[in-house]
Amino acid sequence: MAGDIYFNGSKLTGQHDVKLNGTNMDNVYLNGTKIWTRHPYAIGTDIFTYSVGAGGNTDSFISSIHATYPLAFASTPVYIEGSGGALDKRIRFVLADGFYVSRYAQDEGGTDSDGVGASNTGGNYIIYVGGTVSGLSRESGGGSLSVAGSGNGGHSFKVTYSGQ
Amino acid sequence: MPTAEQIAHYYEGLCTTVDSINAGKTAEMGDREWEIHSTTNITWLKTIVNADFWTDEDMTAVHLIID
Repeated sequence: MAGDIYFNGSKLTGQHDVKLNGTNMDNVYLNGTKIWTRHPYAIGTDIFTYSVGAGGNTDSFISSIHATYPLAFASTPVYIEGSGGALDKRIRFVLADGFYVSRYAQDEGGTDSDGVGASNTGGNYIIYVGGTVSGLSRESGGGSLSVAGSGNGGHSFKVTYSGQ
Repeated sequence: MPTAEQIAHYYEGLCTTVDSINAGKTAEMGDREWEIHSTTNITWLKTIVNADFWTDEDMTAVHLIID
């Protein structure tokens, strides 16, 4: 949000509705500059948690997670290697601005839940699942995940909305 | 900034990753699986070794892999 709107002395947050002729606005512009955006979720809302074991099928990430929470994604997740039933598969997904990986736990590597990613929303991620290993890595933004992108066993991660 | 306990936890995970790479491909791992696993984790090591939260942890083993 590039600016604030005050109404009767109170700042309108993204959780308020701004209406024009009775229709809810998603964005408000002033002189061509976006000054207000309606938040799709309350700030701090946990959107989804995805878990998959080594050798597990990842089709549900595309068919279920993306389909259920489309606002969390900047584009449709795609397989860049293999597919749900293949031994080795990788899915690339792009989080929309305001959404970040708030927790990542890998069976061997441990848990990253320090919220480092909170200051770096959006970005490209890769889910990898092999026969014996799996993990999540961030293609852009470098070390926002403090746990390795592949290790023995399964992994899970949580996506949260920060509104930033 | 992570707490000292979290940093110790991350270092343990880092060492586990180093050990995994140094151990090489296991009998259960396919060639492609090992290729992705090792490449992904070496890329991660190159980034995480420069994280700003480390204190005096020994990164010698990491540098032997990434340098």
